[in-house]
Amino acid sequence: MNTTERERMRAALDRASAAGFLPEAAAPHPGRFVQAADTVAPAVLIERFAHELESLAGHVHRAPDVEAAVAIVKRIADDHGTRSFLAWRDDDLVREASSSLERDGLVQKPQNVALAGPERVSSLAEIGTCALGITGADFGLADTGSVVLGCGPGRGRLASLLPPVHVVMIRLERIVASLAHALAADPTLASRGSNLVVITGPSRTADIEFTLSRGVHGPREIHVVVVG
Amino acid sequence: MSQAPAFDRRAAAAAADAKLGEALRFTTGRLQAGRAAALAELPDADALRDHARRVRAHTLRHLGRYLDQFAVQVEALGGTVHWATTAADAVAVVVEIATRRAARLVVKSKSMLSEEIELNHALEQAGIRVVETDLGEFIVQLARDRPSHIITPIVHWTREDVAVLFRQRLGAAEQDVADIPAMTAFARRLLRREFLAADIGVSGVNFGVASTGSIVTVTNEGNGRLTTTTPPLHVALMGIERIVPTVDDLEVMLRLLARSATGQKLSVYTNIVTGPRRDGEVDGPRELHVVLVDNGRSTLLAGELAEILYCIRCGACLNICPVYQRVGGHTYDSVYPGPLGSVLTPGLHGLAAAPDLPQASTLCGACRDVCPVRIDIPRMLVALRTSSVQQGLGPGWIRLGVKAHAWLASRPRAYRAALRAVGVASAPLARQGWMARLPWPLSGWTAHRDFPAPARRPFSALWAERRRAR
Ligand code: SF4
Repeated sequence: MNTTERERMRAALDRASAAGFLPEAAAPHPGRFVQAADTVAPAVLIERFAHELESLAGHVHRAPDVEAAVAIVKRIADDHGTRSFLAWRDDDLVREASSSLERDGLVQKPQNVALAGPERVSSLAEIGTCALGITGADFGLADTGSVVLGCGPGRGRLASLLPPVHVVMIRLERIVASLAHALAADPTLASRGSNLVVITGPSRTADIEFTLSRGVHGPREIHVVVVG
Repeated sequence: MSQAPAFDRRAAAAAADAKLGEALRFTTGRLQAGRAAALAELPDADALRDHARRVRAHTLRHLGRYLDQFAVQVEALGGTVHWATTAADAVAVVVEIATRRAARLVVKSKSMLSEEIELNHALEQAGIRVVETDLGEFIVQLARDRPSHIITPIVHWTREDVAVLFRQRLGAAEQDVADIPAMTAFARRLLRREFLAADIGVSGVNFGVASTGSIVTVTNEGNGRLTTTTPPLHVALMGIERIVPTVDDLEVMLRLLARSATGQKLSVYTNIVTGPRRDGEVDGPRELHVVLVDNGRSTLLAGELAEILYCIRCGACLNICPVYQRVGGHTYDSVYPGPLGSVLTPGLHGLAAAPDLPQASTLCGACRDVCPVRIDIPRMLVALRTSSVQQGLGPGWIRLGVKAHAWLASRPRAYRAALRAVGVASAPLARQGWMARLPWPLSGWTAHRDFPAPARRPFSALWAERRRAR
């Protein structure tokens, strides 16, 4: 950090924020936004979650147990003629699905991207060919139909980003009412890894003539398999 | 910033462009309706907006402290923070980072700040190829055009325009431009190659979180995620006012941002980057630089326009503005068009750089009503008009008119005589309280609408009469 530049800017800022006309700035920080308490049954949450995500053209699948969930993932892979896939390694649901796909002869590509040099470029190119990405999720958000994915060892960002189809496996009890609820339940959620992403539906754009098209840079299809 | 041709000439040309008018009506109408519906279904929307406004106000009052906290967090995670007072300083920092690493290709996700500091040009001068990756910005860059809306940059383009551009500049085949999904897929293939080959990703920042050092970018396409994931080095350009104190505050802003912008409950990707790739993680850039850019903001913060820094860049004030709807973004000739820009641009660069913008408003107050953080834009437009007269910047006839009025208004006898004269002179022109045609220079007004006829007897006369009667 360039100290002199920083000090110059800091001094200017302190003078400025004391002098400027900032309506309502005298009050202290208003704290957390408190909303009417809502304890909602899981059955209502999953219904809302499915409704929201489906209204964005996402797909929600219910599975009573892990076996059924794995079968759903296999069917999605089949439907897309998938030969290779990218998947999280440290999530027990995803591991079940991955091993099952591998037994069927599909190839799981390594998630690791080399830090530098030509290996970095070649590992990216390798990953870039996968047709399917499978991840878990820290939370599902009922009010927006979102999934929340924190990265970490074994949990790469690219599995939910590069392949055209993204499958998320999540347990029913991980679906909470909203992002505010997720943050209250898990206060270090946002900063535990170098990246947290809240994904709300498939990648889309409406830049040309305000007409929707899907799968611009991220996946054009998102499937959420809810177990339980 | 060039002001030629002047605002009114550009406005007249834009208003006469039927194709543009149709596109603006359609897009701003849809965005407005989306916003209204999304806020209506949000419980406690009004309380939430009040809360968000207080968070913004508090943050700016203590901006220096929060920036320090943010910088300390970023550096503790292994990132580097650069403080840049001017646009030139910020550009120099980025060019230096790029040349030191012999970078050849930079991918960018949408950043208005980078347009404000004219970063692309400087990087290209240094021999580095720069690729915009937001679909709209990509098209703008390819055509050497300028964005005309802060959320939908190519509202002024038709699908046919894009098809011609892709064929001519990128050699797209007929089937690549057959329809909008085909063009989108074509751009995806092309840009994917650039993402995987890029040496540096440059992103903007929607919010920086002081308590964690997190950088938040919000996109629908996913280019924000790719820009901050595939290249080995990430440079984040952040206006100093983008700070929120905590993750809870971030959540409040997110709840309002997409709803106010497009009517979505959340944008597709809310991407939160907290430091560079860590030990054991499998992907992400291993180097992170955050450039904190002032470029006029601290001057703005010190004055009566400070409130415009509460802005979270949702674009709702553009969509609702009757002037923006008629004249479109290019008429403003400013990186930030619409009501927001009419305060921000003269605030950042001085009134002399944009003397017309504060006049480009009916002061109807619609922008203040839709603003998620309730910024009083009309108040600041009036303040700017006042300064413009004081600095002698306005059109000569306004200054003369104001002077004449001041002279008259401070001389009661002359004032009353003038009122009576106007009442008598206008009587033959008035029909049922309205005048349809007035002599020059007032014919400029009556060319488009009627003018209310002055009362036959001025208020002061009626008042005096009532007092006498009592
Ligand atoms: S001024 Fe308010 S309405 Fe306009 S872009 Fe900023 S936050 Fe949105």
